[in-house]
Amino acid sequence: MWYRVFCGLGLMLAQPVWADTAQNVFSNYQDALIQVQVIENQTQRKSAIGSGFYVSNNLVITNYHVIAEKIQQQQQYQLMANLGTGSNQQLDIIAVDVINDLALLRAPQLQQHPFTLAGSLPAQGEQVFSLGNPHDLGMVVVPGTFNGMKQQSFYPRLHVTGSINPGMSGGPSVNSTGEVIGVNVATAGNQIGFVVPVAQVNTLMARAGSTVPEMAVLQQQILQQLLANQQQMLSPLLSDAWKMQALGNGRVPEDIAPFVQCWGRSSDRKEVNSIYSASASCGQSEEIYLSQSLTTGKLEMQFEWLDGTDLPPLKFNHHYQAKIAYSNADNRAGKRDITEFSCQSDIVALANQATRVIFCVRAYKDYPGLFDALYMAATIADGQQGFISHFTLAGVTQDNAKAFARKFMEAVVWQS
Amino acid sequence: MAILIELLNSQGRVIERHKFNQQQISLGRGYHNDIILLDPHSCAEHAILTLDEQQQWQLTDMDSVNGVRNQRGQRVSQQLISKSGQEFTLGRQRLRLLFSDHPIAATQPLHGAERLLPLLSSPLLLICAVLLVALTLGYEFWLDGLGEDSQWQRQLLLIPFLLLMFALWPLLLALWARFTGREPQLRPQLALTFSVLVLWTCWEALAALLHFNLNNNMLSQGLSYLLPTALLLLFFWFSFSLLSIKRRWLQVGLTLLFSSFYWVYPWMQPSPLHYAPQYQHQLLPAPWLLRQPTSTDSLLDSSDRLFRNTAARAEQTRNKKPQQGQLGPLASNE
Repeated sequence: MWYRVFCGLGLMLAQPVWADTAQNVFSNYQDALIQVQVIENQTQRKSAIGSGFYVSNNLVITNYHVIAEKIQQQQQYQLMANLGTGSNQQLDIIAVDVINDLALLRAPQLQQHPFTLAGSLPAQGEQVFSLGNPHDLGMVVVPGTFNGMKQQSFYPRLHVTGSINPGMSGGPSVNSTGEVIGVNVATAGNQIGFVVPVAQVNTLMARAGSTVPEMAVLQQQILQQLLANQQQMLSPLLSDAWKMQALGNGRVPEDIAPFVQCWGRSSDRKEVNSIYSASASCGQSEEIYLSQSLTTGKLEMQFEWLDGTDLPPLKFNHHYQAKIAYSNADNRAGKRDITEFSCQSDIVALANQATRVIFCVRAYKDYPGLFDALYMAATIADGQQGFISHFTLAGVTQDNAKAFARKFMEAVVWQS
Repeated sequence: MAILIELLNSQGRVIERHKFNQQQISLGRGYHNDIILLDPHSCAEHAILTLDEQQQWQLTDMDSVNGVRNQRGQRVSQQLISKSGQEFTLGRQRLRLLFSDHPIAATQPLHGAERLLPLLSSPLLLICAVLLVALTLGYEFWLDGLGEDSQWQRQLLLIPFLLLMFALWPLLLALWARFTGREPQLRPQLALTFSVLVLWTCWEALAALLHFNLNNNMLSQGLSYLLPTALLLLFFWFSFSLLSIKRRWLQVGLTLLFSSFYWVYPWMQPSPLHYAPQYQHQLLPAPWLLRQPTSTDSLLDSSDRLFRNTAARAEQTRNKKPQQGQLGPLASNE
């Protein structure tokens, strides 16, 4: 019998310390947690749900993407807070930050104490807890590990190893003393969660007014945020010299920015009656969510070197041409959000090499001054070899699109 | 005065024409008649035509079972033939009576298609055109075949079937001609179809060269609209000419109808998904470039137009949206 006692003792000792902390965190703050519901007016049913948390007695933070529908179609939806007591109360939007996917809402008066924001980030490996209402199953607390800032990301995100699930968006992640370190925003599956840092919440609260602004003012704010963001993202790319490397006879940028990641692949060189191809594609894993049908704020590039020396010129050309016949934007955009692409195509001398250059532009219908740009270039085949370069920019101004295209055309060339 | 009797088929087309100078003409199924009818609904002695003292022709029913009916379908027992061109039905046999001074239509001059006929009828032309089309198809299979596992040679077996498919149109027209009692003109129709296919291939080669060098300028754009349309119009016009359609308006109508399909079909298709951009992507090997490439500056300068146009289109949409009170452009997506 003694071994049973020993095992029981062992189990008691093995009971993690965090269980206690999680329990404390949850019981201390569960009243400051709400479920944010977007209610469709016609059916009076939930159209979207997320989580939110009180940062003061009447202010709630959630994700912009939770409440985006309300901003896009104000008349069709209303925002409600489910306070857990079965009562639903109205929420009003005070301010949004689309770049960091945050929204500040005015909520019914909170009787208990709100969440406090942490002054600093925890150390890597420290225990953190993510709170929220996953899949509308009720409020939960999920333990996780803080793993520093997300690498290779233009938009600052904390990397938390722990289960963040749909519905928990907008809920807080807190440290072991219950202070908010950030706002749950996304998951990459397999316990990889992303959290918007608390600094962004502070910034949003600092610049938000105390009254509920008109929708037009909010929209103007969103436009200004998008304009400032694209400037911030492209300025260093436009001013810094790009480090170039060779891809066949083409020159391609090595790493134009830490947040743009490149992947490469190539075909089998030995295969007969075929075109050898080596390609690199670079892109960003994150983007700015504006609505269900519109995302923006990303850059993507592709390069391909083609060698079909043993093919007859016309046969090589036939397949080379097919490679540039179809192209599309990298961001999601619907008919209501953007105009159709308007394109021009010409044979341009790039570093003395005749090149078919295609440049297409489409404008944002709701954000005047913002465009998506698409560029595609293919050198005129010389000895059955070709070089294709391509980029798309989402949500940029005319000046930045042209400046980026110019820099790209000057840098990404054929070198004989 | 001599009289002419035209036997007509059910569509009113003349199948027999007889001229008589005698004063009495008998019509019926019996072998002793002047006009021997084949229609089983006519009697052995169905009717007679007689010239009276006033030099007037009379058609008399010989108490036949199914009678003689005039143009309005009324049964007549005796009818004076007062004017040339009157029609009667004996049983189910239609016939028309004409006097020898009946006016005839003006002589039709040989039109384009008929002058082209000897050329189109030449077997050499037909064989050459079919061979060229087969070669083009073979070239395209070869062009597409890439990689070690490419089996473009097997696809060559498809060529006879594809040629047969192209021959469907001439075959259809020949069949139609056959049914309507016209000359089928199968070989000229085939030669015309395959010649047009060869011309179409030539146009495609020219279009590639034009698009490569001129991008989407007025000339290459205009030609890509005009030339295919002209080729199709010519093709259908001559096709129907070979069919000898008498009514000009019908020929014009059919030609326009069939040619318009080339434009109507793409227009009917659902618009491309995801708003994919449309652009000129023609590439050819370097020796085909017949002009100086432009500069980066000039390309970027002219790109201002793209920004202007799309911004104006976006502006238009914004203005169309109902502005509800304090609502800004985003608030309503209707």
